Amino acid sequence: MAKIKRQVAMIMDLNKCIGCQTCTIACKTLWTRRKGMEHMLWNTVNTNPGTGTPLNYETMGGGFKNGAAQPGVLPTRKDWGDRFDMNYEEVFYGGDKDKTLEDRRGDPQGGSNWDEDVGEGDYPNNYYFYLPRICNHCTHPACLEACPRKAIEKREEDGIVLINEKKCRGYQFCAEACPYKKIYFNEEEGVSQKCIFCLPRLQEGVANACARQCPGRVRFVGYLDDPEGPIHKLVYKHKVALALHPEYETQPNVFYVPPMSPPKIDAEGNPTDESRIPPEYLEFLFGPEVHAVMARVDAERAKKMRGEESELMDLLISRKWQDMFGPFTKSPAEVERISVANSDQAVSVFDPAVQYTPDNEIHPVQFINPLEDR
Amino acid sequence: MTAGLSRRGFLQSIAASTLVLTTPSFVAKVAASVSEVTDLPIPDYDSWQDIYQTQWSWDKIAKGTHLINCWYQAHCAWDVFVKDGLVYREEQTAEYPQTNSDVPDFNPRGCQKGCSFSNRMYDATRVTHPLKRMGERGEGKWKRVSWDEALTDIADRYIDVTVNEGSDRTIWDCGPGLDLATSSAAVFRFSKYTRSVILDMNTEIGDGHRGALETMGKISGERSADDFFYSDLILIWGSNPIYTQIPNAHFYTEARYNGTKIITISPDYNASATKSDLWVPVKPGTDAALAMGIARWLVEHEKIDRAFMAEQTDMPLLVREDTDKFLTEADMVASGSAHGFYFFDTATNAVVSAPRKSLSLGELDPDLDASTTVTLLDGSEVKVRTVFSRLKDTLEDYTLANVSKICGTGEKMIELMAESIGNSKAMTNVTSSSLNKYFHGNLIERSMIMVFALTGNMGRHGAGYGAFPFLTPDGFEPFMMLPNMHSLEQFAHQVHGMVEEKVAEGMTEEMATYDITKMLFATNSPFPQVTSGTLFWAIHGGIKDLHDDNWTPFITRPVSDYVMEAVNSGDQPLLPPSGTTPRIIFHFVSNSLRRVRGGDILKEKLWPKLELSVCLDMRMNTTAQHSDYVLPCAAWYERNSFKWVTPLSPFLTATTAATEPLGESKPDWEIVLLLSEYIQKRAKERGIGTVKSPYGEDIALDKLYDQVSMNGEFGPKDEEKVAAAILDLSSNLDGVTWDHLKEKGFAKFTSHGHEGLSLGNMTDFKEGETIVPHTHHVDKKVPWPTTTRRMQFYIDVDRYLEMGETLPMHKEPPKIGGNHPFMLTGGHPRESIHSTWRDNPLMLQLTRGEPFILICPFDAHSKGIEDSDVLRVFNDVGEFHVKAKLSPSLQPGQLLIYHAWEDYQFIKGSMRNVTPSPINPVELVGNSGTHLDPRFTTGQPSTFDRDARVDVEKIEA
Repeated sequence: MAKIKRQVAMIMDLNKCIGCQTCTIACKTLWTRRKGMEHMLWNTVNTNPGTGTPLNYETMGGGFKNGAAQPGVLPTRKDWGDRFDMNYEEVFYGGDKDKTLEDRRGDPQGGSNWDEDVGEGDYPNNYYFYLPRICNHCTHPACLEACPRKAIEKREEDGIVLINEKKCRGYQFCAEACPYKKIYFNEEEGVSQKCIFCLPRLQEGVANACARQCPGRVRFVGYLDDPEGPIHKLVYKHKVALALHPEYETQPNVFYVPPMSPPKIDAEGNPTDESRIPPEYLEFLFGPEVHAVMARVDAERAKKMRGEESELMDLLISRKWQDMFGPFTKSPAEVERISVANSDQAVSVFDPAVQYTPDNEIHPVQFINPLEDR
Repeated sequence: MTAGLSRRGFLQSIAASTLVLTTPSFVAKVAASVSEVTDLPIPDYDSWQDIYQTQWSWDKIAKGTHLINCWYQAHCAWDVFVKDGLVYREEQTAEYPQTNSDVPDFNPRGCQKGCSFSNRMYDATRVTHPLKRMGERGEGKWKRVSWDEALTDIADRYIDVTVNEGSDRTIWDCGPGLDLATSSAAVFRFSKYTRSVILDMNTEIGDGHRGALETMGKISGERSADDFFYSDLILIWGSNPIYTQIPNAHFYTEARYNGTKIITISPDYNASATKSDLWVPVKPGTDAALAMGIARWLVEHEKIDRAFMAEQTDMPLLVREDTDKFLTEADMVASGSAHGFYFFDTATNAVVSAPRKSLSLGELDPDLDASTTVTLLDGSEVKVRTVFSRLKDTLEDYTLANVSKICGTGEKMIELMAESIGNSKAMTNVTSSSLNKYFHGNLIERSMIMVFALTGNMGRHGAGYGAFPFLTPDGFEPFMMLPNMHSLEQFAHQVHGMVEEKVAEGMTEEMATYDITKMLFATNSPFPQVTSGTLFWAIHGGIKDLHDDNWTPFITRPVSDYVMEAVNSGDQPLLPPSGTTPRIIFHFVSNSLRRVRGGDILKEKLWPKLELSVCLDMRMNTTAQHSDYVLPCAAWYERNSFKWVTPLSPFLTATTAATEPLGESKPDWEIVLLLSEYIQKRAKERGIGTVKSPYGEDIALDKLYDQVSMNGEFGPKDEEKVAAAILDLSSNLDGVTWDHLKEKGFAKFTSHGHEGLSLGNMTDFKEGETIVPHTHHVDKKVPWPTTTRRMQFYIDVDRYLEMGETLPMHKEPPKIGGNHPFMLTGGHPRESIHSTWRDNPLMLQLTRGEPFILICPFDAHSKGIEDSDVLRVFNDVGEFHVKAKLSPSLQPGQLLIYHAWEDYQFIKGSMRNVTPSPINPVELVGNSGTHLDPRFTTGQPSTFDRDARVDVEKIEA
């Protein structure tokens, strides 16, 4: 593997993530609207503790143990939470007034956000938080090693891990190998696909859609080696951002600030000294370092409560939104991306909805869902 | 990958008059172009990246926003990307300035609904052509008709009803699309000239903030979201901002990093509770007891701000022990005012009149604890004592032990919360309109505001109670009222004159403005005609008859008697009057049948009497299903307009026509103007001229379009010109023009202006400073717009005496729907604004694709219920079927269903079927000469769905 010159990275602050899924939609409307991508959410947000996406991904293997590749299983389309196929036209124009809007494929039994806001712990000591995930663009990518076609590359200039869809033959060894289960399969195109870290945007100096569109201001983007950038400071200087499941040994380049939580409540309904989220659960996710991280964040916040300064808190607050994005501070409106759809080389991926209400017909609607591409 | 389909081809497909349903022509087109593409060498496709590079491209960018009532999270500036003549996606403009270096900026704003509107506007719910009902209402059989056919028929039937039965038989139900901009301008102008009736739905939807009205004399007043950064304590109480204030949420999470403590009070461990330093669970509907307990603790520990109470509140005012009424000048001096009040001045050791023109006390030093005897005008002696003295008696009952028992909250927990409040230097609240949806929500809000007033947390940076956030360009009111643009000066003079007159009578400008908005409810006024939505549905829709007096045993007379007395006496105006029949309803971007609590009774009682039900919307919905016509509205990215916002994000945000309206859809303004045009044309053709309303008003049907359009100056195609005119007439945006707004996408408000609701903020918007409401009262000593001119905690109106609600207190929630074991609670959803995104495919994908009711595992297992089981939810008034979602975030005895699922999303029935919406008699006060009388958006009865009692059982498959 070629040596990586620089590595772009992302930090997601779980104290700021509100589970709104704007990132999910921002990604969906930008990248995964082609045929065969209906079930794809390159960006997911799940309530933790919970099953995650794909369902129970943490039990599916992959990654490495003491440097040795571990076997993994391939998630099914159902595990991903396949797209619902709702019977709109039947409800609105079918002539049956008792018709319920439902999934034409039968009773929905699962989805990518099925256990939203459920978590663990009996009332009143229920606990949960949101965990957004994208491809980790690992320093030691299991997917890359697993690909027999050498179709996966880790870019020298920025460390972004990409699947070369021209080379890919859809064997899906990568998806088995990825311990985070962030690689989808496109049955129409016969290739594996995943988060591209918004490469076309970064090339233009525009931050990732999931980061730039995040109203919770959860995501920092930048180069890991930029000592002036927030990523370097939060990961190396203040040491408050950790990789998810470091034991998978792929060395992710997406890091998390672990979540605080209100205190547990005792049998009399009074608060205790214990945090609601069990420290052992956080350790399960982020490794043993998480305890020191929680203590550091607490200590720095206590300084603010006493009216003292804290560089760490100011970094996490990021009063100027643009400070979160390192060199990627441009707005899309500042860059020229003229569509070539109407040119001779038309390769448009946009397929509009079409709704028909023909004259003088009683049951007049046919339609196309723009994301389903029917 | 599929081939591009150009807009031209796409639109041709839509316009085609004879389509073969089985093989629409576009399929052939797509197929042809796919094969073309496949056959092409695709020269640039030798690298995988090209497809992604191509994917992120566009033809042009337009500014856009969503003209929907997102309220606390309204509104966001978006760049709308157009490709092939259609909206491809949207991304936040994110250029909001930072107020100052202390606080975070507002960027980027937005949410998952906003960034999927490009999907919503083209999904299967979009209506693109006028549809006429063919089968029975609700049967789903439609015929596509031309605009000409639809409008001619509607105009004729409107004329018939107006001429034969009266102008007030036509109703406009304006829902979350009420923008107080181009759409509302059309409806309000139409109403002004036709005397057709607009429903004031603010209290009907449970947003009335009655407790704020009772205490502060107004409901509005909110800070900018960046001002929360100055709070050391934020109470998230009666709100779930992590769901419902997505763009503002970062201010709260970031304030925590800045050292702010957040306490969330809620029955369930909701998403906002997860972001708190302390979560205080309470039993649903017992929040007033908690507030009272805290107040008791604060008083007991002298953690109160006596100077603030003496100056800003009615706490020092004297109340007669014999009558329980305030001691007034009418009691004391000949020809004395019933609105002159007294306190005991320790400086002079005498009972003195409280200052009325200013809150400033000067040399006076009111005794908060006074208890004395005064000699009345008639020579009799009566004992009097202060409101605070009475309050302390009331607070006696709210010991930690008692409150703990009522709320189910630990004593130490309550004490910890009270201590945090007592030690706070700047405390704010995040309270939306959830608590107003409890029967005793007014008592809850009064108690909460009391905690802020006792501690002097009002009108400072990071300190104060916010109730109803509202901010709008004040050019709307003149635009809706003006006969023509040349009469502006005359109009301004007229309004100014009305205000001046009232100010001369002793009102503040704020009070005078509120007083004028009462005229909206009167006939023969120069305003549009408005009536209470709650009373309209209660009486004409039959909701009132769902009430069972056994649910409210603490009310000794039948609730229905109170309602009819209020309506018949005119205390609460209602149009059309009780005993007459509404005949036409225009559902103007308003999903009435989905919204109005109380179930299908509307369909049984009101709909059969309707001559015409017309739904104007961009999408099919529950109401559209039961309408006679569906008129397709343009989507927001196909229009030029803006909408009211709130001080939380004090930026006016524009939407501009990124593309032409899809199919034959039209902007709201255009539809109403065309309707006016057709009415005028048909009236002329039928030889009908001016007719009289039942109240003697002239309605010039043959000149209607001329009047609504200002003699054609603002025609059907002039939505953009209307937007520009409203801006030109506005004083509170520093002269920003439409052209500027259109280019930039947003503009910052520079003051709250003169519009009635915005005015309630009563503050100055200072450059470089965050916005703090109510500083005019707290700093400039302008009286509060209450009867006592102070924050008023004691209400001596007879009805309050009768109900025993003179002071804040806790009352047990009534068992609405019968004596059933579960309390059904609710809340606004994360993934929709009302029903607007409820059935969008993307949003469904991120939930469970269908409605669910939350139940805690403890309760579920005791009833043999597992996750995803179908449940029958029922009480004395109705039932519905819905799937169970088990969540330990719920407390035992609580069920929770989030807001606004469409009827057709339920397996059977609707969530509304179990919420009979009782009316609380204290909210029927009118003609009282106090600040409680009905006026626009407030002073009217509410509806309550949170106290609904239900039971559940599993339905065996």
